Amino acid sequence: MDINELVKLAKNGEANAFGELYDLFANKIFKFIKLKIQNPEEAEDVLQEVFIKAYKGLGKLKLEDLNFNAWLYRVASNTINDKFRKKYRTPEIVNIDETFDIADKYSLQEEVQVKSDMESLQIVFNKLPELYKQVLELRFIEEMSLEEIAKILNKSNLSIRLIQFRALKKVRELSKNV
Amino acid sequence: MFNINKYNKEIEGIKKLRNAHVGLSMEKQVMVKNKILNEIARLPIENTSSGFWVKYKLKHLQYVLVFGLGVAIFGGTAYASSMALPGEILYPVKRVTEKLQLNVAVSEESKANLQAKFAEKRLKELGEIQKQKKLNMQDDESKLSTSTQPVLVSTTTPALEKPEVKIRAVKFKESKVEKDAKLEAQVEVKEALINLRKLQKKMSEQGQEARAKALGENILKLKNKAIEKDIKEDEEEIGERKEQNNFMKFEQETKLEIKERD
Repeated sequence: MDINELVKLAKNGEANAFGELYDLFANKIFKFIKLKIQNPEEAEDVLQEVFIKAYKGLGKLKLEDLNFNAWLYRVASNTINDKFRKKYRTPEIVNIDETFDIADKYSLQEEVQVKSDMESLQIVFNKLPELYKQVLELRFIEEMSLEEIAKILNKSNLSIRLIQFRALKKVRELSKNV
Repeated sequence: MFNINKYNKEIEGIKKLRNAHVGLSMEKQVMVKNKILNEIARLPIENTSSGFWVKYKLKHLQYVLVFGLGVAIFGGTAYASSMALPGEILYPVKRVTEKLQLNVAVSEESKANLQAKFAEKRLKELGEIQKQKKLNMQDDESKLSTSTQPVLVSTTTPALEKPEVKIRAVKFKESKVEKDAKLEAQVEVKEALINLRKLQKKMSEQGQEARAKALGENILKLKNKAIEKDIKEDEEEIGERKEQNNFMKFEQETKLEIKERD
């Protein structure tokens, strides 16, 4: 069934239609969440929150010219930002030994020597700032337009172009060190 | 600007990451789905308009409550003060409320009519004060005449402690409030009459005879009420009355002194 048809049914309270929408988008949205929230359990909680928020917000959605995909990413982006805002207000105490372990684990020189190109690119990608990762993911993996990304991340078209440019530049810089 | 063509190699590499990114396992996906479906079964979908209004109302409810409380307190005090007489605590509130009403009045006509209404109020207040004064005097006199204890006036008793003098002092205190009320009434009646006449003239010139007539009736009504309370608008008359009052006061004092001597 067409996405907009499913949205229409879900808007009328059809839980099964909303379930189908979940099946279609859950994995993509989860990957997007994981770009910022590495802990899988935390990311699952955020995924659940995103879909509950989306369900609550269905009433506000206008079906004409609807881009449900972009709208759902926008809900996800806002939920992630809310989560971070709350986290900054109540910062967790981080064990300093664990931090050193992470630094050792992701030390570029040691790790990349034995990895294939693909793996080294993944490591480089993981090293990027979250916003760069989000833009690259949405632009080249989810193949969204600059306008869509601008809407999702609540930024101007120009700033998305700039972030995209800087992100690619950073990928090249980091790749040289690998 | 921001041309990304030179980064084609990097872009191709990122595209290949599509399958490398770890997604959600099928098991986890189903688990989260069930949680979501259970949760939404209990939720209504927010309607655009009602959601907006509920949020709007909640957001502004606190301001509405504070404003309402302020209005209630001020309104209550203003209402309570409407019965206040000169010299009472709430009387200034009454005057402020009247000033506010005058400032809010839009047309010249409504302003002049309000002034007349307030002047009538001053006259009424004066009447109330005079009534109270009369009652107090009767009360004092009856106390003096029915007193079982003889008033011993020794030659050594200081003049200020004599009971008659005490009553006189109270009377003087009361007459000060009365005097002020009379003056207030005089001023307000005079101002109201001046404005009403001005407006009446203007209305007549504009050919609005009915309105001019209504104003004329108001003038007459206010003037009659002022005369009832012995208030005259003419400056000379006011001066005359002041002299009369002083003379009467002098006469009363002299009578009292003579009484004291006897």
